[in-house]
Amino acid sequence: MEEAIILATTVVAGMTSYLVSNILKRGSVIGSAIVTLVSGLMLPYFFPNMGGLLATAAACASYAGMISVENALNLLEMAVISLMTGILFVAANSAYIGIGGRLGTIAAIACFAWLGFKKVFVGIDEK
Amino acid sequence: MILGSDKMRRSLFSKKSARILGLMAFIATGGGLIISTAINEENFYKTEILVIFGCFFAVSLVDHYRRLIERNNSKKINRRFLYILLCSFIGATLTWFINHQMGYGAVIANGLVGVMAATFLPNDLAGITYTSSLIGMSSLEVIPSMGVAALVSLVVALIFVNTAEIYEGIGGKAGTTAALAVIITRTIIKIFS
Repeated sequence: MEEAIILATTVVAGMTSYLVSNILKRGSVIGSAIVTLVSGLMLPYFFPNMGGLLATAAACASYAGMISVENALNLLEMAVISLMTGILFVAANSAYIGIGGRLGTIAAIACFAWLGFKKVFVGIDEK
Repeated sequence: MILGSDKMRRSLFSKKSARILGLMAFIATGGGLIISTAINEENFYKTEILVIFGCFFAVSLVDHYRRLIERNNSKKINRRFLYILLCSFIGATLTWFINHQMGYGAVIANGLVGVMAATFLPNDLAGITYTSSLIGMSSLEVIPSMGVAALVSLVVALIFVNTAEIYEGIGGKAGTTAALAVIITRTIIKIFS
């Protein structure tokens, strides 16, 4: 159940970050930072038991949401990338503990993995 | 004419070398995370997931490498190094201060610094400020003082200036740059202490 909530949080956070960055064209930094700040303030309030963990997961997905529109063409693709970020966040929770940038590295791996997945299975190079 | 051609060849070589070096550093940071987790993880399913992600990561990196080598007319990055250095310093130390001294936590500190940077700074400087802000999210065991945070911010600025075009358009490039800088600085500190 905990994992499902984490995955749902990452999908919402990643898509919101992408929406602000690429669709509303406000820039990737504000897109990610606003999601990180709001999740850091709100999630511990609404989920006292696991709010900190959810805020961290949301921050992680928001970094993935900084991807350019050339690499993630639409919100649906971003939803898949965010889901992959969530899965990787859960799977790699014991790595690089305490090192700043760990969440961004997870996001980058998820973004690259999605591009690799597209290359292998979808077989299209949209560029 | 020949001298000019030699100079151009050398310049292209150094640019190519810098790109390859930057990409290798990126692979080491991302691959290191996947491999270390896969080795230490006792849960078989988690290891399996990491291996699958690792395979797609590798496929994508090969493709990214090809594009990177082919790319000749790369976008010029505004190299206002002094400003970059200053923003990097402020981003890292301010986040560290809000996180550890004020006790607001890493996520709020990073978000706050990011929003301020995006509001008051131009895009390129907001980017480096947000990147270095990720350093300040480190735990006290990794970055015990503001002085160390300042040192890591210098390393981040150097990496950022040289590798910004390599990671262009990929979500998480800021985090990977920050993680790389933290690992490099920790290694340097360990060697000299």
